[in-house]
Amino acid sequence: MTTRRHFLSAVLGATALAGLPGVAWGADDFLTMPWDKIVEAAKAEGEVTFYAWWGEEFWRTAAKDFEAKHGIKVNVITGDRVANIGKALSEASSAAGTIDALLVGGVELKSLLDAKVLDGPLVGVIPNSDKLDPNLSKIQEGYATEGRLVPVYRNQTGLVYDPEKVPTPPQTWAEFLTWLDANPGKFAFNDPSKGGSGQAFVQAAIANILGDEGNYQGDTEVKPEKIADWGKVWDWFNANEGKFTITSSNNDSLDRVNQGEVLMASAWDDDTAVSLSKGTLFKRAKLYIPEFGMPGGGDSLGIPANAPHKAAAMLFIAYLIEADVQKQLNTIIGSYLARIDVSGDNALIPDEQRLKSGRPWLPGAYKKLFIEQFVSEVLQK
Amino acid sequence: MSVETFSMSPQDKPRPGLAYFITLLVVALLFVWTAVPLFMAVMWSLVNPDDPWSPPAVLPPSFSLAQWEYVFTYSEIVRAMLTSFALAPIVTILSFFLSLPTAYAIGRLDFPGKDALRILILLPIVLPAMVIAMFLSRTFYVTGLAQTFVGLVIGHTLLSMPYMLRILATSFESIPQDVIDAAKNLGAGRFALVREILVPLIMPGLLAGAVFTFITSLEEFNLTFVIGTPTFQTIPTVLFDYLGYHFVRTNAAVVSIILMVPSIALLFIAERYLKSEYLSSAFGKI
Repeated sequence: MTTRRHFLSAVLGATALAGLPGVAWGADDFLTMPWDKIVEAAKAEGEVTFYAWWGEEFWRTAAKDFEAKHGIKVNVITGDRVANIGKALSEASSAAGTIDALLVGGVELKSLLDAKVLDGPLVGVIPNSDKLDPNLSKIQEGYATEGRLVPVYRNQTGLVYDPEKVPTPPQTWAEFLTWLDANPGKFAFNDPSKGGSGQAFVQAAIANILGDEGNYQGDTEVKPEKIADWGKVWDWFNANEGKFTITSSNNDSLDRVNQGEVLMASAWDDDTAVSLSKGTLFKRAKLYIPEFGMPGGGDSLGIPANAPHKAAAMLFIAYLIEADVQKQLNTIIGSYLARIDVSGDNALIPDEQRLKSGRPWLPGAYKKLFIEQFVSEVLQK
Repeated sequence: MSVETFSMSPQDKPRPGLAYFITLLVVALLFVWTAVPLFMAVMWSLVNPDDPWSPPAVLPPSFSLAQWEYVFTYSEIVRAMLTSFALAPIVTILSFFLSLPTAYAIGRLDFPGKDALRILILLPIVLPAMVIAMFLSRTFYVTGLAQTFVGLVIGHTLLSMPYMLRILATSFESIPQDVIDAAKNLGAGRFALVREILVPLIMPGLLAGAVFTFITSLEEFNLTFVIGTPTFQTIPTVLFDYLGYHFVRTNAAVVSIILMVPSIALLFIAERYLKSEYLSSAFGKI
């Protein structure tokens, strides 16, 4: 005991003699140290490695600008989404990983949260994180993120259509069913196991066939009584099998619209924006959220607890949620800003439509289950 | 003396027209099978982002290099090309040296279990690639070879070597013993025998094996995806990024062409050196 006291006295004495501040910050104190100290530490680290699965044009542009601003090099790696998560999980037991920050989204985020891979809370520590969408900052895919995930953009699903062929797109579920009867095979959504826009349509079907989807919100585990009637939804899909075109991915649906094979499809707003910008979708295409409601959410940024350049990762995340950078994100990849205090110019869907017809995703446990059940009860039947 | 004249009935006459027609049909089908996808890939890679290509337009309304510029500016393609074009030659050379003793033994020596060994060495190309990748990945992760360049070299070599081994073995096997005996009778030593007889006679097989090994490594996706990405990207993994969750046809077209060009160039090289007997030795007996 005496030895320890002497040791502490010696450390404190040495600190005072060295003229250092009264509080000494260790390598693991980034979550509590003042922001200017984090910036200093970030510059000392000198680099950050960031993993994403899409949006390479924005991440690389932002990385270049960030490097020019702070002198910190950003290695942007765009890989497969599941592979990125798998890598973070496989490295979790190592003292030092190779990922400093990563884009996280979809049902996979639960595995990162469950395995306690991510450091945090970051929300509240990183400047401007209080200006982010408050719902996404707390709960994603139905799971409490404990501030470990910093939302970087929001995205919304809707129906993309050819206005020359569909002058008045359906708004209510009843109108949609009438349109579907009149245009068999001309509506597309993707296999929900291969993309969120397909999941969105399946969720919309569950909500409209069975009732209010708000019934599920707040659950972290599946409650059997709440899914007892899901069989009716699968029966509906099977009974109307010939009226849908089921595609292999989000962008495959957009491609079918462009080719004129279908007239309307379930799609993400940012995917639609990218297709429009790349010349793979005709410019007259429109996207809207029907009044029967379609879900939207967002993706976030996280820092693994064993990130080798944690301060630089925090500074990079802070940069990505700066107002101008958020607007730049909206311009380049079409995703909607995660900040609620600024607006972008490249929103395909107006704010009032998002507020009126946008819905939250079902909690992750239910979403995972309906994807599995759709595959087994509809696709494999 | 009478001269007999023979006249062929219409039924006896050869029918070159039919053979010609069938040949033409096969050539046309092959052309459609290979040229049309290549043509479409080139067209999609040249779509002008400001002028979308949609029906009823048969061709893009205008052309642009913007899609190429995008892929080279924002994707991992340059890093992937460096990895792929570094991996494939190393794997080819390594496969050759690793295959040589076994190929010689199978081709020139008799030993128990030779036939079983012939079949065994083909297992890596008979089993589904993803199955091999999944089982091998565990070994690679345990040994620390996952996410390393050395691991990729070993993995690609495992998957490519059977081509080199099989073709080399057949090349050794096809060398007539008489030629070797004659050389020995004329006083050729071991070095002269290798230099003057064995190497020249296996050279076409070696080149054929090298082409197949090189292309197999260049196009390998499954194992690279499991043990290499995201730390290492190769051209196929970049291509699959654009084919998968975020399928982008224009970018996929650009990467496909980048992947196809060396393969097509190698096929022309193969055409120069690959004789039909080596093709049959490579495939006919598999």
